[in-house]
Amino acid sequence: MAARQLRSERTSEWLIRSLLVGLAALWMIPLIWIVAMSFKPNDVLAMSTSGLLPIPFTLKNFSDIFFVSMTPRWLLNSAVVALGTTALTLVVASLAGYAFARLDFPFKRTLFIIVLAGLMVPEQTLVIPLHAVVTSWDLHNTHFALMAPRVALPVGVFLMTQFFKAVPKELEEAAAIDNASRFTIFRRIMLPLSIPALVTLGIYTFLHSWNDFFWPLVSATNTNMYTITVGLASLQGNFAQTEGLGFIMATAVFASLPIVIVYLIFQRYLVRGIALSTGK
Amino acid sequence: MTAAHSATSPKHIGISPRFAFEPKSSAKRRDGLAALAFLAPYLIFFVLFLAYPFFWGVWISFHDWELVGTLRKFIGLANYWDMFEDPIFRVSIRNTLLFTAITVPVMVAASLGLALALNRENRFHAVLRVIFFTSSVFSVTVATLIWIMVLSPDRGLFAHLFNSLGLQPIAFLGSPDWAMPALTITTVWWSVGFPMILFLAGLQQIPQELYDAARIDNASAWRRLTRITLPSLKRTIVLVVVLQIIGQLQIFGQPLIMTGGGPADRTRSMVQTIYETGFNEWQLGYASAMSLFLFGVMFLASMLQLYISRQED
Amino acid sequence: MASVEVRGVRKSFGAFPVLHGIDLMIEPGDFTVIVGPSGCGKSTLLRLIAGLEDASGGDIVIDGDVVNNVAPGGRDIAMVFQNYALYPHMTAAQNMAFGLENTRVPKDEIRRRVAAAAETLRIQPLLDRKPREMSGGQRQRVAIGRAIVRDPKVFLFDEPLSNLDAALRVQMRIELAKLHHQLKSTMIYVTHDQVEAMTMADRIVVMNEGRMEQAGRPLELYHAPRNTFVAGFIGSPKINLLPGSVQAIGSEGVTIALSVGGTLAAQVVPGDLRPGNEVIVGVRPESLHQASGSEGFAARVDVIERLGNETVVYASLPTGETIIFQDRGAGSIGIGSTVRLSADPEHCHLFHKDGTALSRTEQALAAALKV
Repeated sequence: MAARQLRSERTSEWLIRSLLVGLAALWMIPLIWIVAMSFKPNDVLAMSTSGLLPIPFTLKNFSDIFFVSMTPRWLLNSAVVALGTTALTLVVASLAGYAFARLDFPFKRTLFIIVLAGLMVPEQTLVIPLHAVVTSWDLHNTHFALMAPRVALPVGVFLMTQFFKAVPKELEEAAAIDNASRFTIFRRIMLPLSIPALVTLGIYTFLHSWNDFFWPLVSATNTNMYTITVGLASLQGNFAQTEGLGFIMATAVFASLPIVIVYLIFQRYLVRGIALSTGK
Repeated sequence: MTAAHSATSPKHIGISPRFAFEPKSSAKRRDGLAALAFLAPYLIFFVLFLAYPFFWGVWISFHDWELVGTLRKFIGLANYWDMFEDPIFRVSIRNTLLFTAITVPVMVAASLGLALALNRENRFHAVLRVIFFTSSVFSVTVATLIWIMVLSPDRGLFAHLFNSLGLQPIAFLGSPDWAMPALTITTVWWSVGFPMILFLAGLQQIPQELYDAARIDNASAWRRLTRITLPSLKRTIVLVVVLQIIGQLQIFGQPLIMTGGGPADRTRSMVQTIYETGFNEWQLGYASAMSLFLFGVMFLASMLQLYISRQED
Repeated sequence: MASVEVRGVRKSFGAFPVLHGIDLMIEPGDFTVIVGPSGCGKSTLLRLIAGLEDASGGDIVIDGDVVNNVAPGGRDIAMVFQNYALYPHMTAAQNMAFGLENTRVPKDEIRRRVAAAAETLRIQPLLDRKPREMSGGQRQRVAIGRAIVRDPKVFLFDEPLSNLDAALRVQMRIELAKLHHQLKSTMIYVTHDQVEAMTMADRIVVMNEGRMEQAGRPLELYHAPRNTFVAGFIGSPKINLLPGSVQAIGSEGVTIALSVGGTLAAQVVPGDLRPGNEVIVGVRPESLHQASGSEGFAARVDVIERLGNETVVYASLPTGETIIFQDRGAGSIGIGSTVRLSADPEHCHLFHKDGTALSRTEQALAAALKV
């Protein structure tokens, strides 16, 4: 009986595996199709869009991106904004996280609760007043205006506080006995230890910043200041009629390339970070 | 004397400078000053770009306040009353709730199913995990571009499939009945990875011994799932459901780009109405009031999570 | 080398007092072991000396200076932690150098001191390894090395051996004793293990429930415990404590009628003890021997542990309590058999009902120390 049970488990195991492979294929087909189209000539696509292989093959769509479009400029904006947001977030969140996790100061609990309350405010509901405020400071159509609201989000502070709290206290005590100042402890002990958390927070911030849509849509009104996410949306506006289907697909592929590469390199950290940010 | 000892020529080199000797109160205060230095950079961003705008939003929601121009008239709660009389906003509330009601169960079931199937430590499952998460890294513009193409009635993948079967292709995004489900499919494809990872993290925290004990107790795979796995995942399930509710209530990019809210406002969402009120009609006060209403709805959803997790403890 | 003095130190966590006024003088160069059950406040006392906690009252004096308001780094102490607290991202050499870098010791000097410490501890091959690439024993040595390079006035150890396996613990115990002999520094060592205390200490401080029960040389504590707690804590297997009442007071000592039946005599200074007073007799397992006739008291054998060099017997008294003794009769006892046990008066301790000890006579102590 035990043998039969084992055998039936093995059968269902193979069933599940084939189902998963099928589902994964379905998941990937739209992507493969889009990538294939980005390598096809526009006039071929105007006739038929079927086929998952790039035949006939051309690189013209990609070369067009550089010569006849704003895409390089938008990609540059996205890179500046995403990298800037990431760098700023890492600095301010690790500093504040350390203070909340390990320093003793008046009103610490109250302040922490206020900051955490910020987690409750959804990004979408802040856009309207944020727009008014940034208007009054005359900061629209700047890279800084695209970065700052995301740097202000408390997620990073929360993550770093949780991480620093989990570092054994004895390490800091040993360092205190070794005559290290607060800042030395932070820089030489805590920061090197938090590299995995910083990488996680960094990639998480980078992905979200790169993909931000609503805020750059209303803040960056000058086409020169579009991020690639907003720029691509503006291209799509009338793409149903467009003849340049391959060109649009190439832009989408090209725009996604940095983020997919970042993801594939760091996916291990990203997955762990998501677990870390919610695991009890 | 030992080697270690003789090596330390200047005898008390380890002593810290004299200023370390200081009254306690000033040592405490120095910790406070250090905290200020550590916190200040973040707090500046927090106050200027989160706290202040939030309260500013509350303030302008009591006004007739235009994006451009000088009209700033205090009108009390009038914006809030108008909101519920406004047929456009009412239809967008209805659509948003409907979208949430359809999408959340599908998303939770799909991500839980994937997590259960993929919770193994080997190459095959690791690769599949990467595949199902990959679509989550695309921006909303790329995800919607892909699905506009896939669903297109004349050159989409479904159109090719329908044609080859000799059927008439459906214009999903132009159909009052199909537009909303099409948005759900797009959304699930785009963002199933995140809840899946949350479930995987929850699964990983269930001790293997529980399963070993259950096998020794002759429990079938089905009973292991229903009696061990699902009860152990309860907290994660609540978390995912609430995060999904909060997330889907904020739906914006998918209908804006894919259907423009159509056909006939059938997919117009609350955030889209907020966006158009603010930036097409320039009525910031009214749009702020709508934002705060949305915030209130989401606040209730997170209170629900708090309430449920309290009940358990 | 420096003295450490603790004067009337109190400590509470919130409303919960953990130390109720500790007075302790540690002489320069002494190896002092603070021992007690978990929760007795011994680690808190050590952390107060280190400056990791602030006292609620009293003074900490190191080398004649009151250091209450001095940060840990300014006290010129080094500490070895229970979990070693090695910086995980630094190599052994970097771990040892860290404290010296913070006090701006010149680079050559740092290198020299690290090399010297590594030689003393025989860890030269580990210098470029990180903590996760080392075994528990190796980490332990690096942690000690980190303390040695500082050449501190006082070394503090917080249960440093508790995470090692039994064999390694014995080995490190010996090495620490050797190290103290070499360095001749003041060392304060906290443990819950009385064997560590007995084997390493110049002086033992026994603590219980936030109070100091007794301080003294190891054999002093063993042979002249001030109360039943110290008597019970020091020595393994544990001392047997048998309640009874005073039957007679003579020149030979005090005779006690045990509650379990039978009598024992103890050579103690009777003071104001009167016949009929309730007392507690303490007899160490090695002091009990089998008796004949009506001498001593009876017990039924439950368990016999044959350790080779000694045989420890656990027997139950009619009242249900367990009594432990060493059998020198080489396996003559069987489980279930009844034995009569007795002890010589010069080996018996006597305590008042409240647990405080009556002092043993000069002859009794002299006899005990000869054994």
